[in-house]
Amino acid sequence: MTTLSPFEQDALIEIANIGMSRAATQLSLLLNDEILVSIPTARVVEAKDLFSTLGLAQQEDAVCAGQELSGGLEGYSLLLLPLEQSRTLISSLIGHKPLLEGTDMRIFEHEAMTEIANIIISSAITVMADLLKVEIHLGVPGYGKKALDALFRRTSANGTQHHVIVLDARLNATHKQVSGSLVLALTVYSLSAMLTRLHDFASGNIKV
Amino acid sequence: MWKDHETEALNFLPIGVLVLDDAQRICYWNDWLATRTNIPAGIATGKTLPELFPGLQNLRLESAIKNVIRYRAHQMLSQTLNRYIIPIPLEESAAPGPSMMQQQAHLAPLARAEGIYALVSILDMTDSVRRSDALMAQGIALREASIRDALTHLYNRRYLWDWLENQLSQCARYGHPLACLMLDIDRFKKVNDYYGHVKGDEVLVDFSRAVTEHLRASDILVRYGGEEFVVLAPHCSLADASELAQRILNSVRSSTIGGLTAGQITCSIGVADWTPTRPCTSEELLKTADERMYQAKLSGRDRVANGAGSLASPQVEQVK
Repeated sequence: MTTLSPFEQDALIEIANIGMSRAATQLSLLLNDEILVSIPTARVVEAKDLFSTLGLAQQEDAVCAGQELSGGLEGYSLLLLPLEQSRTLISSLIGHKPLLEGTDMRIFEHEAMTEIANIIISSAITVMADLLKVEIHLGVPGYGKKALDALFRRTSANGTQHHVIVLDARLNATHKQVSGSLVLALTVYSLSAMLTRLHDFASGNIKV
Repeated sequence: MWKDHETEALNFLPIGVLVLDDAQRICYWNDWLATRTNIPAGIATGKTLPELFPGLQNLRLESAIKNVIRYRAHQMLSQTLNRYIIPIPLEESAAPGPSMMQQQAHLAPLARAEGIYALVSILDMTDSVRRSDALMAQGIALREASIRDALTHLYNRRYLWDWLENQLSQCARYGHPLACLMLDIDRFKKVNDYYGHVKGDEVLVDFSRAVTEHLRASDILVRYGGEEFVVLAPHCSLADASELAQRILNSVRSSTIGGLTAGQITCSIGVADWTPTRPCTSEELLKTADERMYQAKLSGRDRVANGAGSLASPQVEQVK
């Protein structure tokens, strides 16, 4: 079982939070409101346990959008929010629009969630690329089942289930707190490479 | 940057396409954009978007372009959060809606021998935004119609049950009281029989207005049945609710309702409450208020009953 040492965990949280402050700046500018994003914890879980770890009974209980990672790190990155949390976030972000309850929100969720995920993932990954000195490219943003399938495809190569890094994310928008997760599914080789880079970063072996 | 056949293909596309270099200067501007903005490619090329559209400052777009060129990270700018990327005024339309073309943009890295560029494709979302706004407006109107009484425009019984369930959960959670007033217009059948249903409807509308004047923004008034109404007042004790009921009673009695002489229309009110020490279900709360309202009727009408005995009201002329 792959785990993060406290050393690696601290380094990952530090890097992710630098990324989140960039994401928060962008979201605040975009929405003309103070948005705060932070990552208090990070852990590695088995991909098959992802939903149960996040307290979700099934895939339909979550809204997600993500992007393929390529270059120095290969895999998939996904922003995942429980359905109700996503609705709270979207309605507080686009509160000027009269909204109906229920399924009608999905029209807005789809597009807005894709962009919010795009901002958060880009911010986290570009900071990671800069600080760990790894070239990482991001693919076309995807939404919903398509994104989730892409994530699980990345973690079930050769018929074996692998691990994903789960970064718990907290978003504060217009005085409402929303909790979600930033999930990184890396190929076995990339996960190992990333842990090595994290260790080097935390040990001061990578000059920033 | 492009071969001739590529340019031709890009000019055929029903979307806007532009290419920006690392200084965010336009290197390519397709026919779609030239036509919609009235800016030919010859004028656009070499300029930044703020130079082309003075006053345009889009920090999200600038940052997205940087991410594409520096990190080859694909970016998406939604219509929901951005409205538009390139300001393109829409022609005057009788239909209400956006004044600028609504757009969604995708940015992708474009590798060329001389470096990485940002390829921006812009989709016109105006029609789908108009459709979605129209559907949304229709949906809201339908929802309003489903929870309102057509005559008085007060909330109906359907809304009452949803609202009360939610409020009682809040009361239980935060431990605050909630009062329920059941109001019934006295001898309303006689008003209808004597003056006709049109006058009866006027009485119902005026009565609801007279009651509303005494309510706080957090209270709701519901048309419960024919001439029965319910007031639900959060954070209101039985004593305060009884005072409120008495004020409503006095006001109705002294008002000209439906054009009838003051005093011809009166009502009887039953008051019940929910408290953390005496919790009950929505149905039980309404039932208690209803029973007390009948108690007020039996005690002579034009009075309030709150379970502690009916509060007497002065005798007034009733509709014969």
